[in-house]
Amino acid sequence: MAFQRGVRPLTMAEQELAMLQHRPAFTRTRRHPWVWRGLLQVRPGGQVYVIDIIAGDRSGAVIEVWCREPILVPTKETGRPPHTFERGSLCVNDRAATPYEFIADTTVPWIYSWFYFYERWLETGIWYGPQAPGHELGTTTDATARSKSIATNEAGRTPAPKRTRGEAA
Amino acid sequence: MLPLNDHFDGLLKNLNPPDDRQALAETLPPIVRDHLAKSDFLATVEESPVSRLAGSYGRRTVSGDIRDVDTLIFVDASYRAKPVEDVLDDLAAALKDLEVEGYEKGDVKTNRKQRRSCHVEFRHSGSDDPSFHIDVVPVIRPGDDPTAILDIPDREWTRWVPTQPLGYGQRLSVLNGEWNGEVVPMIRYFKRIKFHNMPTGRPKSYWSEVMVYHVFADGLVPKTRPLGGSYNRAERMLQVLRAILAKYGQNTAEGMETPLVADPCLGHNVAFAWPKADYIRWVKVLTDDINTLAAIEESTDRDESIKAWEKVFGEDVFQIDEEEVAAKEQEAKSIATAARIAGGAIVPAASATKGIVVPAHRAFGDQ
Repeated sequence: MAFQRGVRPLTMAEQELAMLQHRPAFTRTRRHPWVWRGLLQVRPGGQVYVIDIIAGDRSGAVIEVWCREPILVPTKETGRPPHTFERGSLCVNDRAATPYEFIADTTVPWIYSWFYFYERWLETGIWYGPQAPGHELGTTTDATARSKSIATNEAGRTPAPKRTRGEAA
Repeated sequence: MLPLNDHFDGLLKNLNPPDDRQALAETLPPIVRDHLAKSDFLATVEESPVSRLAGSYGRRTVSGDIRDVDTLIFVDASYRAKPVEDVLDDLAAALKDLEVEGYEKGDVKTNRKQRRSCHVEFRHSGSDDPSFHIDVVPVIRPGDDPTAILDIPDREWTRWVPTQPLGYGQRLSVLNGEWNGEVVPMIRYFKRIKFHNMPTGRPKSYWSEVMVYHVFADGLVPKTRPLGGSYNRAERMLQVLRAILAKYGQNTAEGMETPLVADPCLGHNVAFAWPKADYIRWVKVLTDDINTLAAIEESTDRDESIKAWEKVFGEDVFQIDEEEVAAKEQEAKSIATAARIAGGAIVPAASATKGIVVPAHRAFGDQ
């Protein structure tokens, strides 16, 4: 599948069409704001997550990604899962999808990627995925990280600068 | 509850039988069949006797070493008119010279009480202990369907009784499919829990299997979370243990019979010979394990969680597979560089020609 970036902002109807055609795991549950709910699994036979994508009223609006099930495992430092905003929505990228990009082609793959690295983090205490500078988590490659508690792993953590929720996708 | 996926994957791998036993279990049934084909002692339904694997090996529910392989041999219906000893005597005579490479000639036993089959023991040269045995069960098949209700000799050798081992295997496969493959691993885990915490005494391995079967078949555990999310294996295991305790663990009071563990196909009590003392011990083991796991149910402490599971399964088997974990680490590094979504899962871009490229992104969030 390859989406063509449009020269004008995409309408939400176009976003919906793309989701319907290419992301059948996600179903729109609401308009204004537009909400898609999906069952997502990052490996065959693995955990199934229930994800809500709350996309606002127009393409390019702030997108929130929530994991409704199961409850994600928090870090000890923040009491929240890694790479999440203050209210608990997931931070899947350090930039939002632009009005010219399909959510189905950007946010959804980012969510898959986020959960893949979350599952590896659960097992190893290391976040293998790309991280924004200043927001690195568990960058150690020390093998002992695996034996450490998720809640007590502080290896390689850098204090994060203050961000406002909704700054990024 | 922490999922500890690498540990549960490693556990499943550690519960696989040793490679040599696996190979032996795969090669034995045709050896038995070919041997019986050469024998004139036994009348079978076809010139080359038809055989089927039964037992846990055939159903892929083995947990640990394979100590025996059960094989069904479809015998001629004319045996129905004869005393049941006849078929067992004929089968024993036919198996007498069975030889398996690498083992001393098999010692055939049929005269034990509670025996519906011919039991052939094999020893390594110089060893006194049987290393391996096969149970060859003579079966009368009413028609051509091997999964139909079959007749086997009764343990008292006085009559033929119905059984449906192959039908059960089919039902288990269907159930396992309906539960996205969760049932068979849970059976293997549960058998291991029994073996680790109660190496001697009953329940027999098959009874444990049937209990797990009923937990899923009767819907005693929720299939999904309320919104459709799944349970991880750690959560599921604890649910299964609680369901088994609730269904089968309530008969410890003096004077109460041990519980009915119903045959999945025919409904009779497969655990009719469960000694009460063993049953009471089993309930205590189950209760202790549930309490151990309940203590980490809300925990996010990895070390504490692993320790609890090691107590339940044994630390020798609740181990990550270093090779597998190294491969996953390599995969994670590849996915960090370039990934695709193919077939509903995320994979390194290099390993998939089709699928959606995941556009570059960086996670952040207030840590």
